[in-house]
Amino acid sequence: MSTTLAKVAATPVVARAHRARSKVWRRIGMGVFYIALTAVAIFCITPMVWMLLGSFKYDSEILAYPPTFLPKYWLYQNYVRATTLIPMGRWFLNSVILAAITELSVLTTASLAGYAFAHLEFRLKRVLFLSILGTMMIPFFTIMIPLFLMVSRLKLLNTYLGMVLPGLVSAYGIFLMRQFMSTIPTELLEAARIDGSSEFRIWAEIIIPNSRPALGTLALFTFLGSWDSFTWPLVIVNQRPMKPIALGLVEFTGQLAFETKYGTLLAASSIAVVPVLIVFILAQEQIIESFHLSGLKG
Amino acid sequence: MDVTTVLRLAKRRTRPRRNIKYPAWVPYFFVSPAILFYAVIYIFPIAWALYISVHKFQIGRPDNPFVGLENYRYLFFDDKIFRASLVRTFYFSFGFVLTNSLVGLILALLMNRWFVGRYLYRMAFFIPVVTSIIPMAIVWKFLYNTDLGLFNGILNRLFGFRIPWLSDEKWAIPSLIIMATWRRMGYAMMVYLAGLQDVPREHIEAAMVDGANAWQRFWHVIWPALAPTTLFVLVTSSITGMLTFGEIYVMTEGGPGQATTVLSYYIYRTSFEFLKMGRGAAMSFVLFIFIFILTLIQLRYARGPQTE
Repeated sequence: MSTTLAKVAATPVVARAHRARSKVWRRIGMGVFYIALTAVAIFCITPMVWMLLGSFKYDSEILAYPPTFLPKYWLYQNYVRATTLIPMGRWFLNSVILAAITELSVLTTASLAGYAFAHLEFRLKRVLFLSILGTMMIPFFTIMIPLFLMVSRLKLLNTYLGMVLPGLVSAYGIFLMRQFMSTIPTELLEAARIDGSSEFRIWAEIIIPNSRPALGTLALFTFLGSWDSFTWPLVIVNQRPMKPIALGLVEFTGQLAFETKYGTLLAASSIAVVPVLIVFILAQEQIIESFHLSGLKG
Repeated sequence: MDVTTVLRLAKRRTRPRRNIKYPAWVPYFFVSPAILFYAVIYIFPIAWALYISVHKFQIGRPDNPFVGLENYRYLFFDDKIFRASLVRTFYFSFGFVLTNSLVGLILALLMNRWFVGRYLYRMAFFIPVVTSIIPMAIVWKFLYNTDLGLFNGILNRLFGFRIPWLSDEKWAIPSLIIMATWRRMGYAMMVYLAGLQDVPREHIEAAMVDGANAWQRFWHVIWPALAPTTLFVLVTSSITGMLTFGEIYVMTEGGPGQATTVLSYYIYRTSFEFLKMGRGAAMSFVLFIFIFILTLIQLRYARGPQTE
């Protein structure tokens, strides 16, 4: 009883008045609240769900009206066709390779530079750091033409190296690393220096192991960005087997929509989305909480 | 993309060093890979782009004569498609910015407390933000189909009419705006949710004691306190809107007619289909200037979610 009284006394006057309001209205309010949120949530996941379920349906069922929710028969042949009619496997592999090269380069350059910007002193430090960050405001469309000319003169059209080039370094990555590494105590580094460790050894043995969370976040967003890359491959790749998955899919769209193989198209799209979906589900919290750091654009 | 926060935090100095024991070249060794890549990917290309934009530059031609500002003059005075594409870019970006920030704000206000299932709702709102845009654009093209698409099926059943989403010049850009909002509103919501944490709790309670109703509390207390967040959402959405390309390439190819030929798409076509790279480069600098101005506004006035 005394606890209840204490609770009542601790509650602001207004809140008590609020509570006194008819319970029925609160219930109705909650009902409206949930209906509104659910409607938006359904809108958000509809394209994804429609695609995943549609990839198991017959073409006629995909177009049927009224639409079916679950497939009448679970058809896996769409997936078979997506990997045999078109080089989906090869495109998938291309995207994996591109992501791997990009990850390696971004994580290496960012963690090296991040350490220097966080813990070392040198004359051009501020200038270099601010100019790196300044490049974030350069739209890709502005550097696209010279990059194309450069890549074509270096005979790098239709190559992995050409495709990864613009993504080899990330200003966000450097920034993220620098911010995170600044939190590693200087005393730790000083102690290592007194023991005679070189800066490179400090980086490898103290900085990197202590920066795992930030490296993980950076790796996640680098993967998402690399997997989505489309504009640049569109410009420099025209050989079918070299296309990354998004670009291959677009080529495939024209062909398959013409032949009205909708189920196969949806299966191929699902294959392209599933890796990202898995990453999102596994690392949801980390992605949502640090998304503003990612530098991913629409 | 959060340029503001990044640059603001960058201004803070790290702790001053007490005793330096490494040779002077060591820091440069650490930054050199990044700097080298930056020089190759950004610095050199941007200078080259500037060079191209003042030349009559067509790929495959042996001579590319210097023409001064002719490419820029041509864009603004003779190229009707360019001017129209500029208008469309603003139309699309403006529409997207408004719907995106409005929906994001409403969602954030609804989500700004604990309730059963909050976690799942947040996940649902955020799924479109991360999922690959190209496959989803292919799916949206299906959904938007005038005769067979799901959206028109539902509209026809419930209200007895169809909307010619992507096949009508008037509807094409609004359709793209709806899709872009679908994709980004979860992000706008997260930014607003972060902004709502900074609204002083005492101010809201004081307003409640004074008998302000929910709308008055929002309009007189919460909304003014959210101003920097709102500006942040507006500017970042504008930048996203102006750089939209993949969806347009997949869903409309700039059409019907030229109804969705926005600046980014026109730059691509001019440079890589018509191969007029001089003009393409000039256009890309126009785009650069817009993005630059938006970033400056953001740096000066907006406040995004803190990174620490």
